[in-house]
Amino acid sequence: MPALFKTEKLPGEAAGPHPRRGLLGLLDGRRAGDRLGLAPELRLGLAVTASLAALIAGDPLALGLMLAASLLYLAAQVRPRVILAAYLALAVLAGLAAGCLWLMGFVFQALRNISLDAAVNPFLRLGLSVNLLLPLALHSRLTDLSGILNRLRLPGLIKLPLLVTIRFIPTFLNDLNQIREAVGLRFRGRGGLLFWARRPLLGWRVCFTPLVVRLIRSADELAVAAELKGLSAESDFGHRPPRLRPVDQAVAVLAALTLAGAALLEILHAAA
Amino acid sequence: MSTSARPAPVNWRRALWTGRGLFETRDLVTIGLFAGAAKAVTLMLALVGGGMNPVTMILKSAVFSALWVLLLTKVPKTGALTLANTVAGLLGFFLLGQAVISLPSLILATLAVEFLIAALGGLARGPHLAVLAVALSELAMRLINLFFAYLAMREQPELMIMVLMISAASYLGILLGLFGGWKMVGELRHAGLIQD
Amino acid sequence: MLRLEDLHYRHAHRPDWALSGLNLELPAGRALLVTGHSGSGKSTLLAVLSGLVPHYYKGELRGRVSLDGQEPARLSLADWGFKAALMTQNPEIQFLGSTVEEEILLTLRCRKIPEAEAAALAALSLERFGLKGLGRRSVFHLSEGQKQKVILAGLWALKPRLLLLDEPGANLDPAAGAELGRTLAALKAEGLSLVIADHRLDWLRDLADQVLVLRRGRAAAQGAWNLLEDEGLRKDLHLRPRPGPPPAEKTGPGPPEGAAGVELENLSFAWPGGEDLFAGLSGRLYCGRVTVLSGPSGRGKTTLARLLCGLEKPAAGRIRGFGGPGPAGGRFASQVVLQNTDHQLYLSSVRAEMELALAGGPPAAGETAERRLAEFGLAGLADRHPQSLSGGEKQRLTVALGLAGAPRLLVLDEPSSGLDGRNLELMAAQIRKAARKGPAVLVITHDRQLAALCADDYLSLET
Repeated sequence: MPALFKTEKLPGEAAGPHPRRGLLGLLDGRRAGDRLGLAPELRLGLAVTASLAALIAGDPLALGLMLAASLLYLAAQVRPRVILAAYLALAVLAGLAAGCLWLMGFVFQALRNISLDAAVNPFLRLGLSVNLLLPLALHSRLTDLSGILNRLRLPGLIKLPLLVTIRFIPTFLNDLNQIREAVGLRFRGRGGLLFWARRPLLGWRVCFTPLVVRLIRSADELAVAAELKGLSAESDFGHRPPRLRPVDQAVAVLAALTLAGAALLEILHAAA
Repeated sequence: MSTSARPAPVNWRRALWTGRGLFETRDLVTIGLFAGAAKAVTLMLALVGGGMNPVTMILKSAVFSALWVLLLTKVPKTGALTLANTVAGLLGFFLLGQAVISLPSLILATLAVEFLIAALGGLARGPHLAVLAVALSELAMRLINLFFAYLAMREQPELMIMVLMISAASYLGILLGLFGGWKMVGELRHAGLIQD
Repeated sequence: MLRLEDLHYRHAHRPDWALSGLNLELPAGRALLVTGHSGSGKSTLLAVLSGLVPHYYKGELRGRVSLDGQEPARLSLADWGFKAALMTQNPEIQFLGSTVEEEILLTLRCRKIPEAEAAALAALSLERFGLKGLGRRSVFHLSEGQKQKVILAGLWALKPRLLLLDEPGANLDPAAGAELGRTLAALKAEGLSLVIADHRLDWLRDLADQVLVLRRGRAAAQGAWNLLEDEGLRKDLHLRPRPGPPPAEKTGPGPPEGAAGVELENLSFAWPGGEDLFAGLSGRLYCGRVTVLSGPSGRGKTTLARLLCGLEKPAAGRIRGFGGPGPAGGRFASQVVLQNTDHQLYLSSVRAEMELALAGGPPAAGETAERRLAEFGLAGLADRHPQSLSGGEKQRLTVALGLAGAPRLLVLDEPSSGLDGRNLELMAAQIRKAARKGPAVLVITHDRQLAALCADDYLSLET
């Protein structure tokens, strides 16, 4: 009888643990195209400031100036292909919204009054938000967040759960992947999407029950581990004061100048 | 000479900073874990089905509210929901820039709901109050988000119809999730995973 | 010196004592092995020694525990942590930092050690445990053995007098177990006392100076290692049997002429951007037989299981069914029982799980959920919630559910992790029974004792 198994080549050095892929890989290493490598705090600060300014501003010129500056900010950090894809997705969404509004116009008389002139400002604000949030969404890494936590003076009451959250999101993503695979294997050959469409409650159970059980068991185990570590809301999480590099400072100055320009245009608009 | 023992003055700043007397480490760990799970599910569903797909939007809201009901059953303390919403909100803000402007008012709204629930007897009275707390806080948060959406679209308020429809769909998900969470609490008690 | 004097402990709201009348003296620089059947009180004893009792678990504690004259009840949990440090069974759950260095620093910061001192201690600790080059590596990208080393490095930096380890051998392959044994021997030589609770005993042969066998919270046997040489005592106390010599790659008595099964033809696989995990792998898994697959971690055992179940696609080669009904070389049904059973149980009762599983399989006359459950010794548990079952019961249920779909191939990934001797034998019997019901059964395991109990054919990815 021949040998049960034979191989032409066997692995040499241990190949290491299962590589992390998918969403987790994305969160772990989203660095592609991040040419400026701005401090995460600066990105967050600019997003907050610009969102506030966009809400206050009512002059299309002021909003236009901020939008133009934000486009430069975006182009300096995100690949043109990604920007194009994001704007295309936005255009599709806007198109869908316009289509829905047109259809609903047959029911709601008010919707027939929408004019392109009056819709300019809302769309300028939307564009501004996209330009500021896209670098955040593309370049924020979970590992950066531990650093941000160390630099922010947040209450321990918030810092401790945030630390746990940041630490466990990759674990949960891994768990969710395993649950998805386990469900796929167990219910293979039963009709695919049609099977779940007929049994939405079973679908809910098979997704939700393992997640909840895992969560509750992890909460108990981690609480014990945290107590043993001496971790509490009064722990020292290693505070580091923020440090801005010259490129961060330059971007901050340009942002301040843009805001000043927008404020001037807003005042002139009001005076007129 | 006699001296009367005076109670040590409460250091409120420290209590608010560290949660001393309000939460134990195990509560904070549980809140962090549930907030992390809620965000992980949101991220996964956004990637699988797209953020604006009505089915994933409803499912996302359903998972979110069901997890919050379970969390409040495990940590039935005033302030737990506010803390969980704050952590989830900050994470959404740090990672995706979500709710950059509305976050403070969302936190205040949740806190107001929690005081109302405390006035009704507190979360320890049973999971029905956890369901009510999540239902009210999610409603309050949607109203606040609608207000900020109105500010952004004030020149053309008719556009708000779309935002209203999206909010309604996600709140439908919240209601479905509340029912699912409430049923799951009973089952987990039966399994001995949650103690009374 | 660790000293226990007439120690009793009862969990809150429970009538029985979890620990009862324990006495012990462990001098500095000595190692104690604590073993016993599942639920015998091993983890509870570690909870007492680590100070979790009485600081975290508020049961009833009687008697005296002391380490160098100091008692955990008289110190805060954080202060006791400087004296007695615990590594839990799942090291990943203990991590709070994202990288190796951050994890060790966080352990020290939590103990309020000044920043400069913490940094120096962390550097020293990384060097001491051979982790110097891994400081910036994500904790998710470590092997099981490396994860344990990171935890040990953090605990060692606190300079404790007593190190407590809960089932450290449960998830390690033999090489990693031996490596951990050497690390612990070095710590012992530094004067650190060790208390190790484990089901897997024999990797501790050269390390343990004393042995304590628990039965329902009481000391059933206590003494030097040689008491574990008694196979009768091991059986009586539900301990794992002594392992035989490492099995050589073998095939048992040949399968019957014309037997059906699953064939692997020149299978190759590599993760994107990585080297080949294996190349040109060929072989047959026969229906009605149990094949045990072992080998060091990272050599592709679980990947092979994923390939067999269609979760991954091979870079080259193919997997096909042969013999039996259906088109030759066609697709075949397979089921996998994962290590984490929690991910595979969804419904509110054991019966409902089985009914759902049977509904997905081919119709069979007279087949009922009750009958299937009875075959796997689960009949009395039909109305229980699946998540309320013990680890061994859950494993048996998932095997029974996997078989309900009448697969040609059933793959079990590390089914014996954390099982005591009695449950190990039960599991091995269920695996053999599963194979007799028709499918080819592939068991992926590091566990030599399980392999010895159930393998018809044995394959190693090591040689």
